[in-house]
Amino acid sequence: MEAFLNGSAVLKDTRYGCKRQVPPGSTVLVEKGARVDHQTPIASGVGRVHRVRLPAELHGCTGFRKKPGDPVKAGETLAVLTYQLGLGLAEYVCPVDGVIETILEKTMIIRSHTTDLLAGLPGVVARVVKDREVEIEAEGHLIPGWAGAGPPTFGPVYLAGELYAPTGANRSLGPQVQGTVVVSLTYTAGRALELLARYGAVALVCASLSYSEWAAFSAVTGPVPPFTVVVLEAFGSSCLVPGVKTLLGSAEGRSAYVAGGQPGEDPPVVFLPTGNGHGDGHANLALQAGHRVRVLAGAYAGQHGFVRSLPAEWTTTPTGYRVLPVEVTLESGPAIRVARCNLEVTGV
Amino acid sequence: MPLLLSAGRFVNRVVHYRQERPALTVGGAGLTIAGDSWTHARTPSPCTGSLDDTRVAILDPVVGMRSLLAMAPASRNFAIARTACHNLGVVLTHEALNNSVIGGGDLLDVMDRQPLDAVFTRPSSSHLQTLTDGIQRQRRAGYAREVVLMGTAELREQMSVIQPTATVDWPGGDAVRQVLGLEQALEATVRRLFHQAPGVARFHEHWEGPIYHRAQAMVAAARCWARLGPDLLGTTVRIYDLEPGSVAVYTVQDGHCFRTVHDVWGCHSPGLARSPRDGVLAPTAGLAVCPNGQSIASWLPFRADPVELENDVANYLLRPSTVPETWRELLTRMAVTRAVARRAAHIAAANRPEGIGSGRPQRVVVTGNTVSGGHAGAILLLVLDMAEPTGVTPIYLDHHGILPGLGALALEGRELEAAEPGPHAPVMLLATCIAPSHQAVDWQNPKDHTAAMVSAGIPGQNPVVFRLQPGMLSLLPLTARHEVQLRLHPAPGYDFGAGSGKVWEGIVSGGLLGLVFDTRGRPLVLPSHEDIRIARMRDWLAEVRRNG
Repeated sequence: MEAFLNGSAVLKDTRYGCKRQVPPGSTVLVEKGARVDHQTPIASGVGRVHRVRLPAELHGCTGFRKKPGDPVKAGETLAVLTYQLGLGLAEYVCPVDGVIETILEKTMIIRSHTTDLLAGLPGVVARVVKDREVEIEAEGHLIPGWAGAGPPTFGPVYLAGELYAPTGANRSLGPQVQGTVVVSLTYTAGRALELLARYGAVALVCASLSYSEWAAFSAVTGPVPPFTVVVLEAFGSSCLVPGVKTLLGSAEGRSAYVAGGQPGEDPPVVFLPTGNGHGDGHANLALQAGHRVRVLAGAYAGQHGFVRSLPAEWTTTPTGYRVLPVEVTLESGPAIRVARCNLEVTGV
Repeated sequence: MPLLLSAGRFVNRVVHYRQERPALTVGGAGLTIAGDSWTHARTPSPCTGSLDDTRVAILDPVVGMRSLLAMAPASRNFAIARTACHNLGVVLTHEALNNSVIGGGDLLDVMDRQPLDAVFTRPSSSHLQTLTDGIQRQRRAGYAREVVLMGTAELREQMSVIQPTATVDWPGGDAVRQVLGLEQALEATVRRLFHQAPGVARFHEHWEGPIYHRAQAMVAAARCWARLGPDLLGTTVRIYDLEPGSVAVYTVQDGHCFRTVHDVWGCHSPGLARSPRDGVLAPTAGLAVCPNGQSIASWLPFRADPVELENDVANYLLRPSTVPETWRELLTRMAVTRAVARRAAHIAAANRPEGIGSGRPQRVVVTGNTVSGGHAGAILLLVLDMAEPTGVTPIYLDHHGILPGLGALALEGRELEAAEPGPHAPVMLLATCIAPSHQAVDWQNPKDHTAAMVSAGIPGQNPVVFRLQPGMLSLLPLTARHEVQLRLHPAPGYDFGAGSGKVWEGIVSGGLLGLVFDTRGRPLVLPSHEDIRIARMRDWLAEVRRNG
């Protein structure tokens, strides 16, 4: 059964094989064995497609200021709509520098200029799949996330204060978060998401978040979030494992690599490069007595504890499931029996 | 014949496979078939391989079958192509053009950013250039291995610039024939795509036996079930494959099987829009805006804080291999399944081609991780709420998740005995549901008139006679699991399968839980007043818990 257990143990001083998928149509710029830094371009690709949605009134009218093929700059006017007999005026502006690709019904398509894909973390290129993928081997601390969204990114860690209430978020977040990976060691209020988008943070790493606030934020921002998010514990109010708290608490100002994960392929992670890779990278994550675990379901869901013993006999839960139990001593004190499949190893 | 099944109670059945990933996670359960009788198969036990007899593997790919179905969506052809793709198990991560899912700009975005393994298309001239450029870019990176052009010869000539790997003549006839024709034409391509998928290719290195796609095996299993009936024509069997946050429904109708899939994260397809185990969210398809949110709460027999509920559901869907240890958790998970399944039925009804997948099922079978354990009574209540059977309908439960294995046996050419499963069979008869069709219930002002008089008894003994009232759920346990002689004498306006007000008489089996009489209305509409709803749901739950 051990092979199927969940595992989210923090791996300190480990070697991390970071796989970076390059978008279709891109060209890989590095070769196997090359040393890369955060800012090293590893691939150059076609520009991204941006859409500006236009009102139905503009369709077929002469309000367009640009035509397909025209170069545009961010902030430039794309279309103008007049209403109320010319007294009202609405301007639709370009979000990026690029070229007008096409004008579709109710949508103007702009392709941004070619951008380079940066490595994001220091390391050595371990493998290159032509026009498709680059694997960078780096050394440091790897923190797996519970949930995440958004593309891989990097930046200096900014330790935000108390973000668990909107007022705290208002107080702690400002222009200083631009380009940083904001780390919140507690539950994070939805207001923080708005402020981080406004001030241009590249990522948010938080202990927990309310799913409804995240969904409401995503409903406004669309399918690609404006910054990468990694939730470390769970949705709802959960506190961080002490080891992770210490690790992140001491990372202020250091560069962190954050990836929201690839569905079906890579889980969300936070990686803190250190240059030292000889620690517990090959730790045995099979469940054993003494391991630190997180309870995933049941009355004690979300709590942390230590495995006391692993009885071999099967038991039946009140809900009718036959399970192998594990005796766990919770950090809050009580000793409980939990189904083995409801545990996640968080430390060895 | 031992099998390796890719489904297991504590195992996420999705096989994670990147070509370069060192560890390949496959879980499963061994199953031994006694002779050719799958109804007497031994209870499976967990195992992960090392089987020395004939072996069949069933995999459920996620990565390596990312597909785009690019067609004009408003047309009937789109519904037909989608049904054919779903039947074959194609993972459609993106669908259609010009609709709310993918607009013109979105198509550009998809082709630029998302790796696609296959494109099934019949594009309009306005999208031809975008598709051609996008496919070329994808091919440069080693994606878009299969591009199938569907259409007439004239259309194909115009679209030859795409350089498809296969071309398919659009079949003629009614919707059923078109789906079957298209399915047949696409089968080779999809099989190639499946076997080229990185994980499946890697699995081939260590596995000598045949490997089947789970959808393919389930379709074969569904056909086996249809053959249990006296006559293939006119028989409808429905199999629900219930996974955390997703549901696949297999409907066998006149010998043909049709599959529909729905996923809480990705809306229509269990594709890359979700990955519960990896914890990657699809933010646009949040629980609040997709099928859940309030609809989950309405299936709970208690008041739940909406924010807390949504967090619980999101956490459950991100770690689906856990088991519920409290009744509150079990009921929440069952409520999620109800909401997703009912939403799936609604979407399928709105999108399916005419004449496909409708009709009252004569048998209902449930399988999947969601029902691979847990209280039998709670599972029965889930099936009644989800499938809403009418007339006299036996409900079967695949507690051990062996249905795909049986399907794989059928695909291997094994002639399986067509016999009704007994109470100790791995796929057992859970209960027989008796419910009138087209009945409305006034929950605010309940009426206590008689819906039907029921007479049930073991042949040769005195029968039990009682009356059914509207708005009730009652279970008649049959401890001996005997067959009973059942006589239903409905009041005018109530139809139990013989016609409005007409007597229905026959011999039925009770199965594990017995006979369940469901007069809560068809379609089932829950009381709008919260207090009444909760009180009623508690009554129904108490009934199945007491007797289940």
